[in-house]
Amino acid sequence: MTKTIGIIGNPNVGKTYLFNRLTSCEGCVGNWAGVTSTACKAKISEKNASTILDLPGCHRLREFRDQQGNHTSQREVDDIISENRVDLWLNVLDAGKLEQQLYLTVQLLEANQNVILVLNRIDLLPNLKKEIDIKALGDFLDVPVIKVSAKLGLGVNSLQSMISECLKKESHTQRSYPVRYPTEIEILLKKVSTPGQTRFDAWKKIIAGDYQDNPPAWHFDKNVAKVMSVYQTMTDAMALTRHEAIGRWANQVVKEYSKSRKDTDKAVDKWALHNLYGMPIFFMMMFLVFWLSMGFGQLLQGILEPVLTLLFVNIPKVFVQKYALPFYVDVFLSQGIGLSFVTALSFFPILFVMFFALNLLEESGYMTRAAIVMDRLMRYLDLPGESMVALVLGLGCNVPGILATRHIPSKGDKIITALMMPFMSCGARLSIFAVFSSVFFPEKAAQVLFFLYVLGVGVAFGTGLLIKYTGLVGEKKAQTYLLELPQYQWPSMTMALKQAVRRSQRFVWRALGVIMPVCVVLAILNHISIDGQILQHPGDQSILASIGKMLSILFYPIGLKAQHWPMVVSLIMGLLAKEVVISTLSIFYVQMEVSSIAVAQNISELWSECWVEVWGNLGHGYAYFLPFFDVDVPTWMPYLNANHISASAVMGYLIFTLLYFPCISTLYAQAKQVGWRWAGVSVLWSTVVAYVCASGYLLCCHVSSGVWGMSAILAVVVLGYYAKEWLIARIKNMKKKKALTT
Amino acid sequence: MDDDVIKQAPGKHFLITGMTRFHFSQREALYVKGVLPGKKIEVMQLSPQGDRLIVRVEGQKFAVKREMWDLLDLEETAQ
Repeated sequence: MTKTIGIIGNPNVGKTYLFNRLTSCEGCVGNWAGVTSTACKAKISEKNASTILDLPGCHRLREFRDQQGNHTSQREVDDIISENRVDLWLNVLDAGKLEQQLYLTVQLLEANQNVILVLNRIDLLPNLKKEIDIKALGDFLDVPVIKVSAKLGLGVNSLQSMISECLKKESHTQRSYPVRYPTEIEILLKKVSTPGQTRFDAWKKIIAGDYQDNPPAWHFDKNVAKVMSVYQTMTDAMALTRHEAIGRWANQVVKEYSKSRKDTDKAVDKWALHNLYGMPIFFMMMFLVFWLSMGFGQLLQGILEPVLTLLFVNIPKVFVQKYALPFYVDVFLSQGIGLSFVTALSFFPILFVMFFALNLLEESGYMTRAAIVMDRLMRYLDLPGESMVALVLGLGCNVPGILATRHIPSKGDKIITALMMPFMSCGARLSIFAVFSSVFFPEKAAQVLFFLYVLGVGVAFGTGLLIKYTGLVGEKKAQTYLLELPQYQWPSMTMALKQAVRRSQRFVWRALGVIMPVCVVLAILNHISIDGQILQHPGDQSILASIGKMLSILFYPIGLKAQHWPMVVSLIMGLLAKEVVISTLSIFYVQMEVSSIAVAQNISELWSECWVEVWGNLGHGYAYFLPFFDVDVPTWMPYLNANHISASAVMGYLIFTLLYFPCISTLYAQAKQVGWRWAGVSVLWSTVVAYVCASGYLLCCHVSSGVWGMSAILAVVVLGYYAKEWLIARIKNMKKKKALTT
Repeated sequence: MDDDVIKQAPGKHFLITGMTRFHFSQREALYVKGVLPGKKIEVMQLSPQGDRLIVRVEGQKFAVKREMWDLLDLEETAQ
């Protein structure tokens, strides 16, 4: 029978490090409370059939309700405990902070669970001038205790043997409970519990009495009254008794050599949390992360891309020609599968470097400080500082940004942040903007980029303000009154590297799963005409072209006309991932432009060509770190020139690209964090805003062009008026409802 | 506490004498983080905008909201 092992402990004690050590999986770690958001599961090893669960950190079991009475995310842990799904708990404790963390242990023991105490980070104990007598601790609690350092891998082997030993022992008997409560409470505990119930269940029943408006009858017992007169509530009484006992144990178990505790972080925090320099330092850190990740990422990309093109596109082509295979094989192999590999893999370097840099930042412990620094600024939007951190992450890629919203304590704030996120222009959109602006606005590329970023951030904050004033999301939310600041530490390079590889790999493979079918379908659609003939040189006659032409009517207000159908199709493809926009365009324009289809040479020639390109990119590597470098203009780009499309239409297209429908993975992340309903709202809202903004821009350009411009302005004004009326009516309605309920 | 008093706080040590002004569910959440009556709090510095205090309890650092700080019953002590 497979056994289940659960890893549980306070936030930021290194549970996932241990999980990684035990399973040789690579879960995400960071010096940040709450890096693990949902339970992860893995097989422990081939020999040992048991599965191991990595749970999100918690301070205690049964986190009852937050201030609005909502159940918090810790329900997951409670359910696992109450259903007895775990055969053995590894209760991970930070050895340096034993006293704060034994509360959870006590609760686990009261729930009659099978527990091994794992004291992590013993490598740091000498620095803290502490020593822990694990035998005494084991005697007090009647559980096996072991010292490990998951980061360095110390003691992990003996932990493994201890686990298998504990699993071999069949069902453990009822244990003695470690904490003795005052007699009054002990009597009460016996009274409320039915046979077979643990002390934990009894505790839950007693505590529940505090929350009810009409407490159960035993709550008026004279014993209870006696306790309440001292401690105010039963919750306090039981919690404080436990803490008292824990304090006693800790005094006897932990030996401290030096009483004076030096705050090693003081000097760093003085700067990181300085009231003048704090914010500039935050933006500098973020800037550094993006600058370095973009620079290194593009450098790596410059090396990788020619090689990939050679391997996946050009060599298949040569192969096809050599063996005189039919043309559709060429289409399928090089245009479809080959191109999809190149698109997906050339994405890897930037992601990798960005994840690496972020890992370092997270693990160092700076992220929590960043949340504090940005806290006040975000108060204008009624949002906590954590949401600023998430939004800034969103500038790299919306997906990690939205995933970071889980650090935001209240649900309402989370929703607002998730709704704001899609407007933060991500790295993928940057590449689109860079290419277009370097072709159409070569003199003003920087200004155009800046304008687009500001527009995106502006719309995001506008959305935030709108939600704040309309109160669409809900009531004023709880603030984080007490934020734990982790100790600064030197991040482990190898861990960060491994994680970055894993995270970006996973993303690339997943993206490939989407990109490949799309590429193949596109290549096929693009080479078949409506009457079913295979086209040697795709163009106007293909099926795809006619779809694009049909839809281009919809995009007329944005400035796209029938002949711009590839751009329309690229917008549709952008729903999958914004990265696909440019590659879609490239597929069309490359394939439209007959001459650019490479006349296949022999492989050695292609090889040397590829080398020349790689060396060239390496030689110009420094350019990637300059603030404004020449963007590589794709070879097909000249086709898309001022004769083909007007500059204002390009601008409209860029604005639309910036704001419309978040990509599928962002949508998925949103749905995971705040539910499909809000994700749907986000899709609708962003697309409407994009349409309005882009056509508004076009309008401004065409105001002078007579009837069309004027009538459109009129339409916007009328629509805007009705939208305003509708909103006001809705708010009144909601206020009425609120008044009724209260 | 007044703004002026708060500005003087960094470097001082306080003893938590009571937490009766909190809601009990809030109180329980604070207990498990190590903030409970009888513990000493050392104020390290103020947060950039002065809306939080950076404090230390038993070697663990926290950023405490002013609103919460004001609810704690404190008594200044020597180190």
